[in-house]
Amino acid sequence: MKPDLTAEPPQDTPLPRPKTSTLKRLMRHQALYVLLIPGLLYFVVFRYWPLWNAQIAFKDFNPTLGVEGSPWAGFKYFIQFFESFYFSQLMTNTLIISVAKLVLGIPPAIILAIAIHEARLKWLARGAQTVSYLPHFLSWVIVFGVLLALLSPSEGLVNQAIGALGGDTIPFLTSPEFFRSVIVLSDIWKETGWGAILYLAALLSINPTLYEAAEVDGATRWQRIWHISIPGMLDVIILVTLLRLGHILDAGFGQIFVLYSLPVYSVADVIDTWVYRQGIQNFQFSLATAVGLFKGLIGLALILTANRMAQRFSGRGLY
Amino acid sequence: MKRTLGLISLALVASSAFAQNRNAIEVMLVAANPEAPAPTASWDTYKMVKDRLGIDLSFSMLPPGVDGDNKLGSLAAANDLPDLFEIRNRSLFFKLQEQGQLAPVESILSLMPKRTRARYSDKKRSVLVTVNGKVMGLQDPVNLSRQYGILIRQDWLDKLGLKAPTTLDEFLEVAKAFTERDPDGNGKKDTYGFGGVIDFDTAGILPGLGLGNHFQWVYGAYGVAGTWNYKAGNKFAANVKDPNYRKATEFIRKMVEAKVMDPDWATMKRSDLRTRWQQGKYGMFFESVGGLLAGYRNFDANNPKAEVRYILAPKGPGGKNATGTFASAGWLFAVSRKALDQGKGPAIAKFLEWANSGEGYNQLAWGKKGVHYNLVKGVPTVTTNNPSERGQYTQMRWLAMNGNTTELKGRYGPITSADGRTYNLYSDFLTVARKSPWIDRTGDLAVPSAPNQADIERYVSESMVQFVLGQRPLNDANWTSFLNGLRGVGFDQYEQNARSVLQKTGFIK
Repeated sequence: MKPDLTAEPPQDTPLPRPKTSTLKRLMRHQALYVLLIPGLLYFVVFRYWPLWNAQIAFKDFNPTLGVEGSPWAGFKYFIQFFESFYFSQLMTNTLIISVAKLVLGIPPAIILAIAIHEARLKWLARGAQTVSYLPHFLSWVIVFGVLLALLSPSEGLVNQAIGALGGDTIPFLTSPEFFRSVIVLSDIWKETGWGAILYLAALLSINPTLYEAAEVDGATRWQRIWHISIPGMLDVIILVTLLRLGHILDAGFGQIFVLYSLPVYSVADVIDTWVYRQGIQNFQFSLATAVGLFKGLIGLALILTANRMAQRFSGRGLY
Repeated sequence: MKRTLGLISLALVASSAFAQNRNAIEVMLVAANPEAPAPTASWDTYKMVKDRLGIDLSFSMLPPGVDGDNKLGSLAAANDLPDLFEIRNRSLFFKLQEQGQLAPVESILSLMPKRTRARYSDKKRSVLVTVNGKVMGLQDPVNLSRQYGILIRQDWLDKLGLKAPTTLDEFLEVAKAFTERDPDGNGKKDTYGFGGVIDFDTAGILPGLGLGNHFQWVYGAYGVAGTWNYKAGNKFAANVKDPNYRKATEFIRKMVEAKVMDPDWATMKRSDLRTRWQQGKYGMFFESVGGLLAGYRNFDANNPKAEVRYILAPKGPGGKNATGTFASAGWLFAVSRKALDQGKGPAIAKFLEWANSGEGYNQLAWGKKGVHYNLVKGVPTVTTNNPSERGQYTQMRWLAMNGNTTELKGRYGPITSADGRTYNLYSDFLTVARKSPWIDRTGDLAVPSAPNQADIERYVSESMVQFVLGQRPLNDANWTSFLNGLRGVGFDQYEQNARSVLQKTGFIK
C-alpha cells in the first residue's frame, strides 16, 4: 500500500475553519487540487479500476463472455488454492523468505546509511553511495549470471577456492540447505544501497545543531549515533517496515523465478511462482486472481494491525 | 468540440471497418527461427500475397516455449486472438476450445481441397483436434519430429581406443573414460562423459513426466519411456508406477554418483548445454540435427579435427532401447471464432492453400530463389548465403513445409569443417539416429491437463531430481513413499481420465 495521496493536504493553521461552502474552498485551493489530479488518476486507473476486474476471482472467467458476463463460481478458486497439495509448503517458504529479507535486510541498510553519513571524506561517501546502489538497477537475470560465475560447482570462483583449499564443492544453487541463504543474501546485496537512500535522507534532515550541541557536551561519536541519529531515523524505519509488511506474501517473484530449479523447489517454491505455473501457464486466470486477492487481503490486515501497534507503542504510525 | 467528436467517431468507424475487412488477415506463429528477427514491413511476401490473392497479410511472431504460450494466453484473456495462429500448448488448445474462442474449421477445409487432402485427411490426426464431433483446429502432419539423438565424440573414442557404447553399462564405462582419462589431452580434468539438461521442449518430441527429453533414452532402455504405458484395459497405467521406472532412475543416479555428468546439469538450460558441447566439454550429449548444424561452425573452431556422430540409443538389461517419445502430429494451427464470424474464412483458406504448394510453398518455406535456395536437380536446397537472413525471410516456413524426405535433405546438407573434411549430417542422422526406436505417443496430445497439472508435474519431476541427486536416498522406503504421495496430488484421477480419453479416441483398446 502506498501513502494515502488522496487525503487532503494538512492545514497549517489550527484556526477554526471558516464556514464557507465546499465549492469555495475548492476554488481557493484550486492549484493544489489540480496538482492532486495525476496522483488521483493513477490510483483510479491502476489501483481501483483493477479491483473491479478482480471479481473474476469469484467467477469462471471466460473472455468471450467478459468480466461481467462470466458465471459466478463462489469461492471455488480460493478453495482450490487452500486445498492444493503444496499449500502449506508454499506459505512456509513465502513467509520464511519474506521475513528473512525484511528482518535481515533493514539493519545493513541502516548501518550503511550511518556509515555514509559519518564518513569524513565526502568524496568517499558519495562514491560509496553510488557504488552501493548500482546493483539495484541490475535485473535478476544478470545477477543470476554473476551468481553462477561465483557459485557454480563446475566453474564458480567460490567453489574453485573451496576446491583449492581441499574441500568438496558445494552446489549452492541446487542444494536445499543453501538455497534460501543465497536468495536472502543476494537480495540484501542488491537492495541494501538503494534502501539506504531513504535512511540517508532521514539523517540529512536531522538538525545539525543537535550534533554540535552534543559534541560540545562531550558526547562520543557512538553516543551521537545512538542518541541522535537513530532516534532521528526512527520514523522512516517504522514507515519502511510497515510498508514492507503489506508485501509480506511477496517473496520476490522475479528473483526466485530466475534462480530456482527443480532440486530446490521444496525450499524455494513460493506463492507467486506457484501461481505462475498453475494459474498463468495453465491459463487459470481466475485462480491466479483469487490468490492475488488473498495476498492483498493478508497484506492489508497486517498493515492495519501493525500500524495500530506502532501508534500504541511509539505514538507514530503510517497515518 | 462537436467537430472533434465527429472526427473521433469517424476514425472509430473507419478502424472497425478495417478490422472487419474480410481480406485482411492477421497471422501469429511461433518463430520458425527464434534467433533471427521478424520479417520487415517491406518483406516481399506481403506484396506477393496482396497481388496474387488480394489479401492484406500481417504476421507477427510468438516466442517459442512458455513465453509464447503466455502471450497467446493473455491475448485470449483479452478476447483478442489473431485470425490464424499456432498453438504449441495442448492445454491452451483445450482451454480456448472450452471458452468458445476457436472456430470449427470444416467450412475452411472444404475451401482448400489440395491442402486438406495432403495434410488434414488423416483420421488419427483429426481425432486430436475433434471436440464433440467438430474439427476445431488444423492439425498438420509432422514436419519436424524425432530430430534428436545421442551424439558422441568419435575423435575421443579413437584417442582412448574405445568403441561406441551399445548398452547402458558400456555407456557408463565410456562416460567414465571421457571424464577421467583427459580425452582432449589438455592435461586438465575438465571434460564430462555425458551432457544433458532437464528440458521439456515439445517441438517434435514429447518429454512426458519426470526428467524430460534428455533422459528419455535411459527410461527407453527399460521400456518405460513416456508418461503412459499404452497397454489396454486394466494394464494401462502411468510408467512411474512400473518397477522398471525405478531401475532407470537408479541408472541416472549411478551416472551422477560417478560424476560423469556436468555438476551444473540440474540448473542448466538447453542454451548452456549447447555452449558447453561447442566448447568441447562433453563426450556424449543429446542434441537435434538443427542444433548440431547451428553450432557446428563454433564447435569446429573450438575443437579442430574433432569429429561427432550419432549413436544408437544404448540397450538396457532386457535388450530394449529407445531414443525418446514423439507424436506423429506436427504443428497445430487454429482459426479464431472472431475471424470466422467476421467472414474471414475464405481468405484464410485461400492463403493456406497458396502456402501448400507451388509458388507460395517455395516463397514461405525456402525464401528467394537464387539467394536463399537453389534448385538442385529440381530439389530446393538451401544456399550457404547468410543463414540468419534466410531465417528472417522464412519465419513463416512451418505453415508451408511438409516434412517429406526431399525437403529434409534440402535443409540438412553436408557440413564442411575448416580443414576440409565433410560430415554428411543428414545421412548420418537418417541411417543411425533414426534407426533407434522412438516410441509413438501421439495419443498423449488428446489427454487434457489435470486441474492441478502444475502440482503433478512438479511432484514427479522434483522427486526424480531428488533421487538422482542423492538428496533422497533411492531405497524401498523412499520409493514407496514417493508412489504413495502420487495419491496426494490426485494422480489416480489423472490416470483414469487419460485412460478413458485414450480409449475414446482409439489410441488404446
